[in-house]
Amino acid sequence: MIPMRGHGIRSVSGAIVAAALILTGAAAPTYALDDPVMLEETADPPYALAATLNVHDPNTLHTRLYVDYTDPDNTYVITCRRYEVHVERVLDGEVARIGATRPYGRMEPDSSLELTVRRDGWLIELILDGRVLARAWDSKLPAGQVGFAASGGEVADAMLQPLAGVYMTDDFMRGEESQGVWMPESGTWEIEPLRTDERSERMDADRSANAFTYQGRAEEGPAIVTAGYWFWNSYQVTAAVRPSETDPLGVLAYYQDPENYLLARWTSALCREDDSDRLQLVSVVDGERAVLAETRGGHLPRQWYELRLRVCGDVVQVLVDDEPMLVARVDLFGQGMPGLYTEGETGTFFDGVIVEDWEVLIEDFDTEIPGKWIARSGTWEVNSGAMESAGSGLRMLTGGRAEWEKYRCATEFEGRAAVGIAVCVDESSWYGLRIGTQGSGVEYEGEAQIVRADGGEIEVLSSAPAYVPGNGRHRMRVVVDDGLITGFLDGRRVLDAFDAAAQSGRIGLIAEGNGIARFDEVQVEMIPPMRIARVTDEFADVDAHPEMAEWASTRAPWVLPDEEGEPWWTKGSYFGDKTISFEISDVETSEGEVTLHLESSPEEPSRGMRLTLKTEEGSALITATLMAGDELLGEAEIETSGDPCPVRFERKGTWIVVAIDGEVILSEKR
Amino acid sequence: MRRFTVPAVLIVMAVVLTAGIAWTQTVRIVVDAGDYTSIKPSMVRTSTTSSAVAEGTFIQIPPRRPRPEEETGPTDDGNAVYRVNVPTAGTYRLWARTWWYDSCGNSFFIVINDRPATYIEDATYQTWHWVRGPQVQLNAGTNTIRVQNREDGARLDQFMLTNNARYVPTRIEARTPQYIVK
Repeated sequence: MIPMRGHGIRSVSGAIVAAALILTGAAAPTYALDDPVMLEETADPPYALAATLNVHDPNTLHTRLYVDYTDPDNTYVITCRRYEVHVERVLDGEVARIGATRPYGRMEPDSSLELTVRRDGWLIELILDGRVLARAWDSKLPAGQVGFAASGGEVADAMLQPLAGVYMTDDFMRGEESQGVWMPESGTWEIEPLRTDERSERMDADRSANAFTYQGRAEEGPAIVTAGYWFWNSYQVTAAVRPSETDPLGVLAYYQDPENYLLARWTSALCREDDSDRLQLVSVVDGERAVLAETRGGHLPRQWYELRLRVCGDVVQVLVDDEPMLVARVDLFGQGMPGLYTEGETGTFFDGVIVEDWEVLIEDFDTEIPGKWIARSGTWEVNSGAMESAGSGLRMLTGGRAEWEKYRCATEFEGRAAVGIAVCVDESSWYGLRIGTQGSGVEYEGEAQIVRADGGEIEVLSSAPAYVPGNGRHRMRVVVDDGLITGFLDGRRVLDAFDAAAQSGRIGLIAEGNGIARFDEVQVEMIPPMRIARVTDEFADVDAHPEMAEWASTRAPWVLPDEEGEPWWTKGSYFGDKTISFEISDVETSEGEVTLHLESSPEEPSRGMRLTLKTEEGSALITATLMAGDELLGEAEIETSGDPCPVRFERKGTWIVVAIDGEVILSEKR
Repeated sequence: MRRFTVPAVLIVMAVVLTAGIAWTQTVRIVVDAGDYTSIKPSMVRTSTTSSAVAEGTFIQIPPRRPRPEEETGPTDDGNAVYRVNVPTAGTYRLWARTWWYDSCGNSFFIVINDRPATYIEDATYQTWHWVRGPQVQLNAGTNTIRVQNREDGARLDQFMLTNNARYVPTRIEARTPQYIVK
């Protein structure tokens, strides 16, 4: 990428001067602070500006980084000096400091530090030398250019790296000679075609769904292997792990180099070392290990477990077999690669690795972070470790990303005012759970309500009694999941409502009526995808795959019908929310009928919910009939345009929902 | 002495100018799957309305039915051939935006300028994603890239050649028609 000085007018000459200075061995150019270098491309968030900060004199170093730059009066500016870092939003010439920052005093003269500025739709981060120096939340400015200026040093080798969601899997089903996407950093890492345990002689690879694993063994120091890319952040790395004997094992996140990473380290229950029989969350910084959190309980030899390490912002979590075991707050590295880890010569087997996005927001309001929360109405302030609102009428504070969908938002609250959580918040509308605290004086006092607000009008979608005295501390939670909004109070599910338009948006805190409302421990987390019991072509074809028909994993949850036209039933019962989803191809040329059973059984197929879909040749119409036993719940007709046409038949809370071609055509409370 | 000074400076400047321009040039060649100059079955071109695919087109070796239970090797040499005009000779990294059906359909052979075949592969299935391929030495001018059947069930949406060792594609990349020879 060719940097452009002064908005691109002198790009070529800038490059020539830079080249000339390098070729002649002269000192690198020092750009004047009032003459920033702008990268050629308009940056399309999310992205990372990656560069090297060459520090000539730490005491005079003054770096400015420009994000979403439109002109000098409309840009974010990150200022980085040895003992001062700050982020400013410049909007129509008005300057406001935003975010939380810390300086980095360890700069040495004539040193080079890796520098990254990350930007997505809400968050701006500055990471220098593997330390997060600034984190600011703001989305008031449109996307723009990225640039920099420095004195006392220079910003070199700047590059714009596009960012996207993190997703990577590996089942290690490949030849023994291939490392695949993995990069061994230390130790020995090999594909094992059959599990090398005492049962291996009785195992036949042809009869195994996946006979391959990845084995790590260490010699001196730990064995480490990494995958992915330097710019990955906010992810969880999950691996099936199987200790050969009693050696410690683990998974890594934010790996920078052999002396800098985060580690979920697990030792054996049977070992006699000082740190045996425990699960640890370890930071390794410049080679120094520190245990951030630990708990008792070790692994057993030759037993498979699932180990997961999650990182987002300053939150780090460790889970074993889906159980949260450790959590810590540490602001290290800010990005980096995931990896696998083992100690000892007997080593560890790994399998089924998944690296995927994981985002969480935990807000304790210990300090006020300008720009992170926006008062849409009323007065809000951080007071004694809580967000507080006083006054009368409806007050709302908003935060989060506009793209958030399928999430849970919870907060603790106290005070006499009515309180609430808003979800799917955009510029003019929102949905919310509100609680009419005793003494608040609101018309819904003594009730919990789910409401929809649009342009100042508030419509009650559902309500339920809720007694909340004004003198205690309580916790409320809202879950928004593809149109379903569910409200919880003190861990108890209170009510729900369905509105297909409730899909995505920011969150908000609501206070209304008499007195003060205080909010603390706000937490937002994304809902993980549902697990799938899938029927695929190959496993429906018992002639071609008789050996696979009954036990292979993708077919296993289903019972093959005795006769054609009879229902396929799942082998097990499914509890809670569930979805049947499939596609209909060539609707216009198809003629037929399909019936779907939900919450039913082979013994009593007329029990539960039944959806019948009909198509007629020459028509794009699908007719849907929804029955509960013999009771007709609803009928609808839709003209489809998509091919294939997706169909979803769902239990969502207390609602039965039918969506065809992406449109909800039936939603019945049942 | 003095009269020779100015031409000498000019020559030095000219060298510096040329070297400077060459030194700063980052090349990114992005080719869409439909930009092939020839295609041979069982490789086929497939159109889609999905926004997850660039230009609404990808190429694929359609999955065999029923799926093989074990690796059997390619059934033919189905391929698509692309020609790109490389502005600067040098070392380039190949990246491919792929979609794999499963662990028996997760690779393509890559043949560049009739050199020995290499292949691209990973184990992230049923989603479009970029796979890091080999580093290759490319000549300035026309170079030929052949994407060839190694396993059925493999799809290709785009590929990229770049001499920027640090750059990692993460989304659909903007096509670069100026480098594509049709």
